[in-house]
Amino acid sequence: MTARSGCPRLVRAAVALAVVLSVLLQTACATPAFDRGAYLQNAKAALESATSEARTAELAASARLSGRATRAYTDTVVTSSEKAMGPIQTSFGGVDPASRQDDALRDTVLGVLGDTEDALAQARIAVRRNDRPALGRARIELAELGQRLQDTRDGLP
Amino acid sequence: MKKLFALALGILTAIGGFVDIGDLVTNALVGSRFGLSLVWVVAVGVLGICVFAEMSGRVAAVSGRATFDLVRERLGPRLGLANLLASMAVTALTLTAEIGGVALALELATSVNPYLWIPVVGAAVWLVLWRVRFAVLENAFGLAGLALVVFAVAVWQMGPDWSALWNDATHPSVPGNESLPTYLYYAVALFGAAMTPYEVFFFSSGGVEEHWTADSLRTMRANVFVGFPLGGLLSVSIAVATALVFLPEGIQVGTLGQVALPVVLELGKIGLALALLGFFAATFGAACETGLSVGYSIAQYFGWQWGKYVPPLRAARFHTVVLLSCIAGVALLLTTVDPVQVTEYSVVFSAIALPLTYFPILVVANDRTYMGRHANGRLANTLGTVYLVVVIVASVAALPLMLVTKAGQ
Repeated sequence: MTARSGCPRLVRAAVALAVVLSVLLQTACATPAFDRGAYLQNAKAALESATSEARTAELAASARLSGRATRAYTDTVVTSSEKAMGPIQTSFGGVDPASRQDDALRDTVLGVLGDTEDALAQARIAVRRNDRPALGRARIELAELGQRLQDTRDGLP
Repeated sequence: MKKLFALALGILTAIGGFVDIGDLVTNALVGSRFGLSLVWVVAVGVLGICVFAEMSGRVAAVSGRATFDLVRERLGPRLGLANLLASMAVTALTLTAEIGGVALALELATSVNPYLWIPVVGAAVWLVLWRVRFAVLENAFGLAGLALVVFAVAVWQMGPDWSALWNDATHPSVPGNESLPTYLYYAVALFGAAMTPYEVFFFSSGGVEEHWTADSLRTMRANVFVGFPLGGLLSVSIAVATALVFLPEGIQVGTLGQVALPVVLELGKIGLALALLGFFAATFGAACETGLSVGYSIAQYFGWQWGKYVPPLRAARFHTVVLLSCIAGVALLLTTVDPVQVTEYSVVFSAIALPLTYFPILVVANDRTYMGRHANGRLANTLGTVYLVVVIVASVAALPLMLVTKAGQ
């Protein structure tokens, strides 16, 4: 095979590969087929992620309160958890419910996600101010919210 | 006595230098989501990296040339270029992840935003690569990386049910809340993290930097076959720690701060200090190794003078590539991309590029023109061939699994 005949073949192969990859990537990025099942799945994923963030911050706050963690470390961990709540809320709240019967679910999930973000913000402020009583209250609230998030998720069909 | 000291130092630096940001994040994440059901992948990956690192180290020691110095000569410019492009892209991405990892470790120690640390870290990495001697660089960060033993200590302190852990590790199964494609995706990621291509680039080029000869083979093999598996145990201890603390709580690891949390809860501030020292040493050391590896691979392909064993003025193009790769890594991170996400993608892309990295090693290590009586024996060839099949399977499966699972979500 000469270099001349090899080149167009190479270009065609590259174009074909680019098309296939682009289709695959677009398929992966597109919103999933929308029905009640998908909406529930979305809610479960949001609740699981939020549980993870609430419990991480709760553990970090406990470590700080028992003198096991530095302020800088606790601040970084709690702030990261708080920042993670934004995308979690957006990914769930940005999708419309499949039908009216899912409106209540939307309100419940968004409510508990919002409460978690608030508690994380309170924990972050308490850590930065080195306010131990406030951090203690935020820790208890985070523990309760972790359980609430878990219960809400477990209650979904 | 001197030889024994050199051997011990080599093994210790191999252990401490084994873990990088990919191992830290991937093992912690997998432990928190899958418990110990993917530990077998670490074992498979560690044996694989031992097989190919030994081959590339042997090539360097016997021929006096780095493996990839010989690839273009042995396999021709086309295959050499494919190997260069694939490995380079992954190594550059890994360098970016390592620089981000250092910045995240510094953030945990200071609570200063990592994006402020990133340019400082990039400059520091370049400065170290420019000024510090190779042996100092390798030994200092390798030994400091041993601080990660704190994860094993924390696990011990937790007093887990060892027989239950052993049972989980030896009877792998997909956890109820995870799907099979997600399990396989993380298996590929863990495999990619253990067999990152830059490790063999660095190992074989480092052999040339340290003037290995056929007499060095015994020390090199001790480093590989003792140091790497013990380094692998460090990786496993991270997964065990997160499995014990996070799995029952439903916590999924997504930040470097979470990786340290089991140690903090168990060992307090001293544990935290050691974990942060380990993070810093592991990521900074790996940033230096990947930065050098980018320079090594390009300079070796084009036949330029390379290495830290010659004055920088004599290897100006090599050092320019190293500098540019540091700048590119910093620039990519300053787009505010999440360093942990870069790490997660880098280990999967590592898996994709594996065949192009490891196939040439197998070919060169079998070539008696270069290797003489030190060419691969039956055992090395059998293991090398089996692993070549495994890396091809992992490489082919990586992208579809990434798309199907939306990158492991």
